[in-house]
Amino acid sequence: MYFKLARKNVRKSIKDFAIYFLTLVFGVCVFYMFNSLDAQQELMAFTESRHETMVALTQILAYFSVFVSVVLGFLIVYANGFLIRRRKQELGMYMLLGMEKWKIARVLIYETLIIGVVALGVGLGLGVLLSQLMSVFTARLFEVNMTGFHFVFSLSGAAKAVMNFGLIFMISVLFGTISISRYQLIDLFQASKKNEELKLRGMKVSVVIFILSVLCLGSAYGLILKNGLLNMGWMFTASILLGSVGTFLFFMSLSGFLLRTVQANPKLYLKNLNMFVLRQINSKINTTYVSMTIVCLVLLLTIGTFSSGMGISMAVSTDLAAAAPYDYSITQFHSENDPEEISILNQINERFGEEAYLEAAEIREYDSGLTLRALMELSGEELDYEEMAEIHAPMIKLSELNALRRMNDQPGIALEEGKFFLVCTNGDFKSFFGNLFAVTQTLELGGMSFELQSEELIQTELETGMRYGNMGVFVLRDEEFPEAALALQTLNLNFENDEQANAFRAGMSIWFADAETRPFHRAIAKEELYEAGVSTRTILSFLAIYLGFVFLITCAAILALQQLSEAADNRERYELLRKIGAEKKMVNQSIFFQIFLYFMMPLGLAIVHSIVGLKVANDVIRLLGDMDIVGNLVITAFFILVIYGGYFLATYLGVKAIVAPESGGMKE
Amino acid sequence: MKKILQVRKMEKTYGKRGNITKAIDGISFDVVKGEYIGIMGASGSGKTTLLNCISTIDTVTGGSITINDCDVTALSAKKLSAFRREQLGFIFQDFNLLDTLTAFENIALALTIMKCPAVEIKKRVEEAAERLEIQEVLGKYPYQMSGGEKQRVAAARAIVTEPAMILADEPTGALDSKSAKMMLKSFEKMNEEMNATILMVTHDAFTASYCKRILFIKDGQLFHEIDRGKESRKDFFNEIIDVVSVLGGDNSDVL
Repeated sequence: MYFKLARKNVRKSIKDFAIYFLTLVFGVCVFYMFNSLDAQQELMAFTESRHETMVALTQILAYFSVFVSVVLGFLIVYANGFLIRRRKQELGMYMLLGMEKWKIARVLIYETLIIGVVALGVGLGLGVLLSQLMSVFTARLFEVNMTGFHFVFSLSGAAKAVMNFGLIFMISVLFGTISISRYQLIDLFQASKKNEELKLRGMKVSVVIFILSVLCLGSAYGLILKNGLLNMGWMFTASILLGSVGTFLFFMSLSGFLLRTVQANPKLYLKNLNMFVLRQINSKINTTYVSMTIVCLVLLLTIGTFSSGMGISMAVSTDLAAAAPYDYSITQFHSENDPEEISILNQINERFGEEAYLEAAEIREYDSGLTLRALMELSGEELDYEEMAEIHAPMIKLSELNALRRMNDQPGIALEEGKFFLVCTNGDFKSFFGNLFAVTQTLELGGMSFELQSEELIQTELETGMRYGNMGVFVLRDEEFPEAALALQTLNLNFENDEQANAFRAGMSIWFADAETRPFHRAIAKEELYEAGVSTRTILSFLAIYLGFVFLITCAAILALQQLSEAADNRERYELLRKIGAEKKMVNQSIFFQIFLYFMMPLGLAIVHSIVGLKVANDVIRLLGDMDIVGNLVITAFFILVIYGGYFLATYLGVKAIVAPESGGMKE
Repeated sequence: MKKILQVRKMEKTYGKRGNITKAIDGISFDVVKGEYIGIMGASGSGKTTLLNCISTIDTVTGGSITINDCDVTALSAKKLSAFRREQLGFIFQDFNLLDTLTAFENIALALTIMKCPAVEIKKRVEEAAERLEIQEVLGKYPYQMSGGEKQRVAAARAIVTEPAMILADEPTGALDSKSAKMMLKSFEKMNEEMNATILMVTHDAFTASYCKRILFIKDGQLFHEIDRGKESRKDFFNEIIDVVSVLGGDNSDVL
């Protein structure tokens, strides 16, 4: 009988439950999708290293799934508590009819169970379907081929989803039962009659708090812009703290401030239902500013996660080809007490023979004696690379550069007597040297004076693995090359085919383990770099989408639930408006505007936050390579628009259906 | 005298074929400008249904209702909204004030819905407040007011638009006797000084005794009608009591 009651309750209040239910379904669905990668990989042809990445990705996603469970668990417990509070009167009726509290709890447990089981079922079903599509996406990110397409199902993913959500439902039932046991019959029964104690803050106080919040946010922005993202000093902490406090104060005072501002303009305030809408929002926000603050900060996290995750992954992938021009690079650093110069190529030939590779070119970089600081003083421009200021700029011989360019299918370059030119591919340094050469074209290199041959900067990468490009290398004629200390040697190799490349890599990895005899400090294969890039990109993309999606639906669901549950209270208000002659269109507009503001306020501030945040983050990401910030923002905006906007629309339609039924019946 | 309201053979039935309940069964009456008319009847007699139909909140199933020469049974939903805000003023038993708005704003709301210019709103609200002696509560929220003050704010909201007719549904139902008396005095004043036409539904004889004419309804039909004429309120009250005791529930069967 209690089960039947519970079932009927769920069916009856399907309108209130719909968005909550959908959110649960989405949650389960996404949870399954990102935990079912083990099944998806059956469909793909993996190389060994890709397989390792897959294992790592599965593990990382599993760790983050714990975090996701906590977030979704918070949402479910919150939503359930909310729904129980909304139904005080109904529960009071049960008690009045003589139902014991534990029996009421039983009804609620059944209700949660019904919703939970159905949501799990539908969510898993949807997840299984969508994970088939996702495998195509996964294969593309991994740059592997699909071996064939057949239906896949991950038992472990499904079991994990069932276990996690089962646990969450159990916890939420526990919370619900506790809250019921605390209720007194009289409170339950008079819940709707009780005069709502409106906590109205004085208008003047609102204005003061608002100004304070703007000051807090302003100084937080200032601090983070000055400090950057990588330096975790007091400024960073202060900025985060001020930002959070500022956000909190902002929502605490915003509606009062808004009300005050609009009230100052009677033409606007006393127009249509403006007064009503502003008062509605004001009364609601006064009790919900805490959740507003949380929603705003989580939205910021979403935008940040999504766009910088996407940004990094794109920066990584677009630069892969440019960063790996040669199949293999071997580097040896030289210090002052290690001046002996042995050709790496000779040693490679000795060990593997000349037939181990297709072509090779060796570059030796010498100390030009010019520090970056000296160059900055010359140009008068301060570069934000303090930690590199004492590094000496390198110089190389023209013949070696031309040999390397031949390997790159680039034409050789001729150099006049007494002249030099510059190889530089890093964005920041390109503009720095451009400015430097506008000031002076004569430089002291290795104790001798040289003149710039051409302002054109030569675009040749000197080795594989320099993701940021090289920061500037002077090139001098072999005949005029001054006496200077060797700083670094690099051997670049190209192979004939994969077989040769793999054999060489295998041989090198054995040699690399032997620190005594190996003649090099660093060895990078194009393939390894590529694998690492693909792996970074895939993991970041997956995490960005997974976390971004979960955060976003959580935020949107909280706002939607608050609005929908208010709708019952507002019903009387809107009915009065219609009784005294407000047109349906006017009423609908005011509902729309109210929900729109409610959804937009946290998003709006989160966007402002993230513009500042992304500006700072961008400085970090740019170090990894140029990224298409506009493109990422467009993708992020689209993503948010679809999900957040979808929730907004669903909420609007739901609230409209509750407060202003289409049938127009205004019977008692 | 101009006829403000004409109800002709009005019928209202609920339910579907085979299970029909007649809430109103062919009622006809007129109300002229400046009248203060009461409608009395026991619970379930159909008086609230009658009021809902007149106030265009509900629709009739038969007959016609003409307010200010306009047949409201033939208006579209959109025109009905406009009609309600321009021609009718409402006062409800449970005040129906918006708890998030101050008294001033509650009264002003009726005007902003009519798209009245902002400069005029302040003047008109203050005028209405003065008439109902609630100037000092204009800045307060409903939860800060007494029941009587709330109902007078509601009354101010009803008259501020200068409607053709004010419809009141048990306006004293939720008030203590002192507040009720004050409220009724205000109604009297509105009727006499502003020549406002008031139609009030009540089951309380004391409240009804303030009216000038009373219609008694029983089982959806007009049962009796009495006119106050030059009678004192006390005599009128006794007359009402007499009718009510005949009308009252099933007592008539006992007699």
